Amino acid sequence: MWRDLPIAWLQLTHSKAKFTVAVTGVVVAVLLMWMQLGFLDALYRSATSVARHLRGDLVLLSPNTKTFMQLEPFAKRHIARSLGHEGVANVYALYVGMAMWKNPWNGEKRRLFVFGMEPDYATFEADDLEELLPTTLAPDVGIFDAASRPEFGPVGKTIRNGEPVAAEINGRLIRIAGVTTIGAGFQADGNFVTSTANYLRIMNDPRSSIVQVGLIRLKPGADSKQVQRDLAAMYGNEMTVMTTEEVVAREYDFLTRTAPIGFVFTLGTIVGCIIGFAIVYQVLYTDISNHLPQFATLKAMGYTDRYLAAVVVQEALILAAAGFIPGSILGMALFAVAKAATMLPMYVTWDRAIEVFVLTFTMCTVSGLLAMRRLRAADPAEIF
Amino acid sequence: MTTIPDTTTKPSTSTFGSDGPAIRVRGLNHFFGDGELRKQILFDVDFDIAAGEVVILTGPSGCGKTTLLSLVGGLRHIMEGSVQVLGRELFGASREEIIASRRQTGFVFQLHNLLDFLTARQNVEMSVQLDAAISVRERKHRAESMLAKVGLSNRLDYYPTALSGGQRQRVSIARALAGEPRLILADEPTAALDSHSGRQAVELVQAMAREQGCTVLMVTHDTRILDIADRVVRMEDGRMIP
Repeated sequence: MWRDLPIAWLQLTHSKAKFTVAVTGVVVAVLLMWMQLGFLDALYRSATSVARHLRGDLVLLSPNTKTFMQLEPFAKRHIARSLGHEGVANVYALYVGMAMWKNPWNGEKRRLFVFGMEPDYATFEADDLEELLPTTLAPDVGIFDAASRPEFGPVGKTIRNGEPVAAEINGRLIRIAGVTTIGAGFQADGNFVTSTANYLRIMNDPRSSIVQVGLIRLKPGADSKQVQRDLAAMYGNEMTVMTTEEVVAREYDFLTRTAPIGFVFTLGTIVGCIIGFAIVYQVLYTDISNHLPQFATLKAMGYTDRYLAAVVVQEALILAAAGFIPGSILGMALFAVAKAATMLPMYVTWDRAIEVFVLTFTMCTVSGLLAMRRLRAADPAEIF
Repeated sequence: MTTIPDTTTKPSTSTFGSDGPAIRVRGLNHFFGDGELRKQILFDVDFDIAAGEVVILTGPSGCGKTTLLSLVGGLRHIMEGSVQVLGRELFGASREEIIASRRQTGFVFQLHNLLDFLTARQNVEMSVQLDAAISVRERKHRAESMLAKVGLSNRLDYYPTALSGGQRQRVSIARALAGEPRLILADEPTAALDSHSGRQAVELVQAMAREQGCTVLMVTHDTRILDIADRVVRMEDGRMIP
């Protein structure tokens, strides 16, 4: 095979103009895939940003809670019941609510998530949170998520410069003791973490007995699946017991399946594939059609159908490779633009690159295989 | 190489040695179309061509000579009768056998059918590379020497579109002969050419075939070139004229 004349390459590149058009088509498709998959991944990261940062082995939720975007409250006393299990080391309550933040620079108001937790245990795994949390023992003090959208004001930058920041949350003046990183999401633009006591003050709700999330830490060596089963049996239909991984997976599922937004990006990826497919198919089909007597001549000379099929597939793969590289470079450049504009967590990862690569090659191979059917019309009996 | 054996006395079932006839056709019938539109094209055709013989098959348009050529070339499915090419029976042959037979045959077409995205040299190389035992260097070398023989050593890297009709036909002759076939099948090789280049083309085929000791079956109704043949066979209405 390697010693043969590279006729797939020679045929594709014989007309530079046609080759450029074909490669451009693949580039557009690759670019679309990068963007759509990038948005889908950003959606995943932001939809699960809170869930992914939970610091615990098992999560207790109200059975009515379907997503972290809408956490249903339940009685705090349910959480303590888990302590009875021999595998459980400790349990923690996490209060979650939405509040109105007033940008101290321009007075603009925006909603953000407020999390309340005991200052001796950070229920989030996030930068500097564990060190900062004890400061919230003081009244009206909290920690701001620097990954919130810029509309909240340059809080992170100011704090890092050593200057103090204070802002009104639900009309209450709060001092920002420091910043951490959790991540802005599609559902809320910002996050704020403080102690349970401050949380209740900000939410103007004296009922500390009502919480939204319970976190369970297991003793070393405890089997989380077994404990989960035992606790689920104990709670019956009063509480949902999930592992943190299950919570993350459910958040993602909710956004991509139930919410239309995930579907939009999945559809975008499919559209990208279809565009690329149509262009590659068109190029290969026309090429074969224009060369039917010549392909038939090759058959008459003794070339097999398989040889010709391989030529068509090679052409498809050449187009895939030639389109993938410039398309990916453009895609990465657009990522940077989109990230700056939206603060969405858009990252170029190897996973993403491999995904786009596989999609591109699949797309091109399928068009090649379909275009190959045109070869059947190359009948050596017709060339005399 | 060019001894002409007495083929008529051999039984049709025998296998041929190297001195057997190159082509042996017995009781060949062929039809086009289906059902009521079915039309018989060839009627009980019998003929032999000895190894090394140059035979011209001539006759009016539509008499079935091109169909006969494509059956001998293994390009068309054989419906009834026996076609043995270089000792291989093509009736009921497997795909592999058909392809093996095609590889021993060189084709020259009325329209040259060169690959337009390959240079003259690369077009000739295409027929050499079918033999997997030939190295890339040897392949290039053989393509060049074949093109030199047809007088195109100064056109090696020209694409077909940059060549004249006569030059293209010469490239296709070089291609047909470069694979060192034992049989050349040519269909109206002069039809698309002026009389001078046409004459040149068939003389090339004849001379090179003689040199390589290969058999030639050429279909034409160009009466000006009949003299290059050892033997002229006529067909009319799908039957051989004795």
